[in-house]
Amino acid sequence: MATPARCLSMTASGRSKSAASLAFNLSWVTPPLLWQLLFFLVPLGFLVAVTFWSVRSFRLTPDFVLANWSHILTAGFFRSAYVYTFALAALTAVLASVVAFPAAYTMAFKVGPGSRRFLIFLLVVPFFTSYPVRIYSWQVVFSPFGIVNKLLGLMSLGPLNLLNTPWVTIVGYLTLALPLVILLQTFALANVDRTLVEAAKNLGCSPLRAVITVLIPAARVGLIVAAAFAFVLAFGDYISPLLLGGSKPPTLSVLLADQVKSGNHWPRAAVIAVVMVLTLMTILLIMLGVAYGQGRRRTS
Amino acid sequence: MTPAARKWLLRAYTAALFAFVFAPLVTIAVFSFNSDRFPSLPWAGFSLDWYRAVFADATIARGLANSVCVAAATAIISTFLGFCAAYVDYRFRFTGKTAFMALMTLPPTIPVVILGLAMLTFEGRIGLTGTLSGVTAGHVVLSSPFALALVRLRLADLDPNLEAASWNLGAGRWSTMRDVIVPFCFPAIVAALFLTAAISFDEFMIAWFVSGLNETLPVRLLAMLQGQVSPRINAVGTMVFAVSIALVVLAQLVIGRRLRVRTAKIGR
Amino acid sequence: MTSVMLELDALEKRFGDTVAVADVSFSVLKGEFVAIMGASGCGKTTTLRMIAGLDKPTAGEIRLWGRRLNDDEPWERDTPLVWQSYALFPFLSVRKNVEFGLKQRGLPAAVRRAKADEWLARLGIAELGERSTDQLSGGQRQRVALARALVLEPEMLLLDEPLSSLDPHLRVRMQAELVRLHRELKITFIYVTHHQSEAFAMADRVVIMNEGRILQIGSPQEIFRRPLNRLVAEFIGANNILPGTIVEQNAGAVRVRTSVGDVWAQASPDIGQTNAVLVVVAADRVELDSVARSEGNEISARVITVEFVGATVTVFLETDGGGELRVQRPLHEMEGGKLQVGKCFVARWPAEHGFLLAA
Repeated sequence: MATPARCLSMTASGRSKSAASLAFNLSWVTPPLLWQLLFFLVPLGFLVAVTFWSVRSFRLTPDFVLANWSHILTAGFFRSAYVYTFALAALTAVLASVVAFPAAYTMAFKVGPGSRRFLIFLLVVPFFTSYPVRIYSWQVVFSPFGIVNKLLGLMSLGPLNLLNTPWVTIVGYLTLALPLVILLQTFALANVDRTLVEAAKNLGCSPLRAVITVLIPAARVGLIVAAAFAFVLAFGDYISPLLLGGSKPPTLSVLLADQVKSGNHWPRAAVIAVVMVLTLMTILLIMLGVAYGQGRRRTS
Repeated sequence: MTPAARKWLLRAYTAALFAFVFAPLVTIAVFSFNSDRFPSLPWAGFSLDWYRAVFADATIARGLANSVCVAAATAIISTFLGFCAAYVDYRFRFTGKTAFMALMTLPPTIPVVILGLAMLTFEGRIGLTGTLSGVTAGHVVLSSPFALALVRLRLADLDPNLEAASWNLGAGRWSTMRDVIVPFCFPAIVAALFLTAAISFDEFMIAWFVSGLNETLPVRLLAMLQGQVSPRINAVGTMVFAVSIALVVLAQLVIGRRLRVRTAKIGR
Repeated sequence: MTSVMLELDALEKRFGDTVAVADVSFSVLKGEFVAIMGASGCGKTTTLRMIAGLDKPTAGEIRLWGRRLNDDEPWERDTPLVWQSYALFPFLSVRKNVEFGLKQRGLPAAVRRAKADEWLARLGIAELGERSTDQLSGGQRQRVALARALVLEPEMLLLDEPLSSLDPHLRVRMQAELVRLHRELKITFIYVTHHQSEAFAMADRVVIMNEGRILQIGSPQEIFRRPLNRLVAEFIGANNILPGTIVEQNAGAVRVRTSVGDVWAQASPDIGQTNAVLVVVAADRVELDSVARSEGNEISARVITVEFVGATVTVFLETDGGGELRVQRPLHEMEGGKLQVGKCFVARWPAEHGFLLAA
């Protein structure tokens, strides 16, 4: 009878066996759980708590006051920043979705698998690299000495003060969001049953009408998710409004950073942060509700 | 319009859009070699002056060193945590698993500004602000979902019988992890290391809040940007871009075979 | 005198509310080739997994050489399994796959390599050592899976439908090889399959399962000639199963009124005058003739369909009353244009070749 060379316990009771199993399982659950609790959940919870603290002689002291909330929520500059940020983010979501769609359509249906792989590869690269650098690049391009003005100068126009406008800020937001939106839209479109569109064309729809009346509704969930991500990215971004938008008017993120940098007023910054999170959660819930709500849900 | 003409129009549009996405990178790289002080046309001539200036600048060197340390630490920790969470998702079923997975995958949905502030206030209380460890902690939270995704993707291809086969052949739980699961996930683990390093290396916001005097390179970069327009920035920017793009490309190549199989199936 | 090696005693396995295996008991002798056979979902694979320790019985006991095995972890048992999907490790070469179990036992590299090479050669795949597993054909993977299990020189080899993904031609060849291996190695094989022909061709004993329970255990011959209930009789096929009622009992014989007419069959001690019964007559025990001869049971019927499978012909006939019979004869008997659809024959079989089952 062959016996394993390693010593294996033949007399251990059933109880200690499942203890070993439990120890194994816990070893994999605990590290990520602990880390996320300690460095993600607790800080965020703490942030909410901090909104009720006060700053005494430049030091953060535990307290329970509503002053921070009232100060921020009643401030004119906060409200205008809120509206401005929200409007820009919404505009970005719409613009990004519209601008990305033809490219996503092309990638999903009009290129071969090799090209598609390559294009996806290309999109993933900027998604993870050097966002501040890219925004700085736009700042240079749009600056009074930059390429755009030089080109305008050749045509005897300008120089235009392009920086510090909402439009250039949106260019920055698009730079941030487009790669992701194109990717998500491509996957959403590609997962639509091809025969649906073909059936529509077969029944006499022009290609454009087939896209509008069949393809987009069918890919609705993925398209809305892509737009939601664009909104979240634009709503929270700091770099584009700072470098391109000139912080006038400020967005919520700029406001937040200001509260921290000048005056160290963390509780007020925390209020802004909590308002931002609540807004985003609400918007996400609404958008996902719309996405999954009406009509049949399509499984991809 | 004929279908063929439509197809080429769409492709041209896509090319233009990609050009828009990549234009900033290209212009920065090009102008880093421009000897003219102002990055603009006409081009004044090729020069490596700005790169030399960058290498001579001590603050940049320090920033770079800090960024590398943080990126390396982040890569190792977040890949480990991402692996743990991916394995838990793959293998176990328990009450509260949905909550656990939600906790693991939520960070990318919270704007980095807010994460940075949260890290600042919390770490301020426990004395981690102004340290690279504090920055690393935040970066790990941000990047471990990506490590999780990469490893989970790979695990999805794992024949569910392989673990059982390993047990059957005499390997206990830990031996199976060491001899079967980890070797199988190896490409994903390597890709995750590169990707999380890239994310950390480029990360500006959390570092800005937390790093204090121990600036990472992106923080130093932004400080420079808010000064005058310096062509040294182009050089630094290009180098930063080169490093992070190299990391991401490496990650993609390593995990590439999986992506190839999956994307080839799209649109069939 | 071969000894009892493995005992399964009233095994039960529940998954939530579903009972996958219920009250399964049988013993396996050392060196036996036992096949567990049944349709998908009958519990055969679950039973095998419990022997290997991959599923824990919710009731009952498994004993190996008299020692209770239930609490042993899978890696503590010496029950290597050949998987249906082969479960080869894709990140290891063929040789490293085969060496895996030896490595877990702590054998040094040189010894592992030598043993692996020995078994690769024994299974005819010596040249594949350095290949990666995705470059192999189905048959080659099969052999690697076998080598990986056998290199551990176990007392008992478990096989879970290992041939089901091979094409039929290869499958028949591998069946012969497995039987040969079994004879050479003289170890116990426990083989799970849903192919009746496979189980009957290879095994010393067959365990037939259905819906988690054992229907019958016996040698292939025993089962074939004497299915113990309707399910087994239907499962094996090639049987006429005629429902009817007993109208007369006479010494050891009964007369049963069936859809094909009145037939005489062996009386069964377990089946009393409960009138509803089944008469089972093996299809190959019925012969076809052109005239009646007043011998045994004779039924006139008309040919409806003829099936040729290799060297066997199955003829389906129908009586005037609408009853159906099937007859299996060797091909050479049926040649010469005798068989035509619509032609009438007399189907004849001796009364003692028909036996009763409870309805």
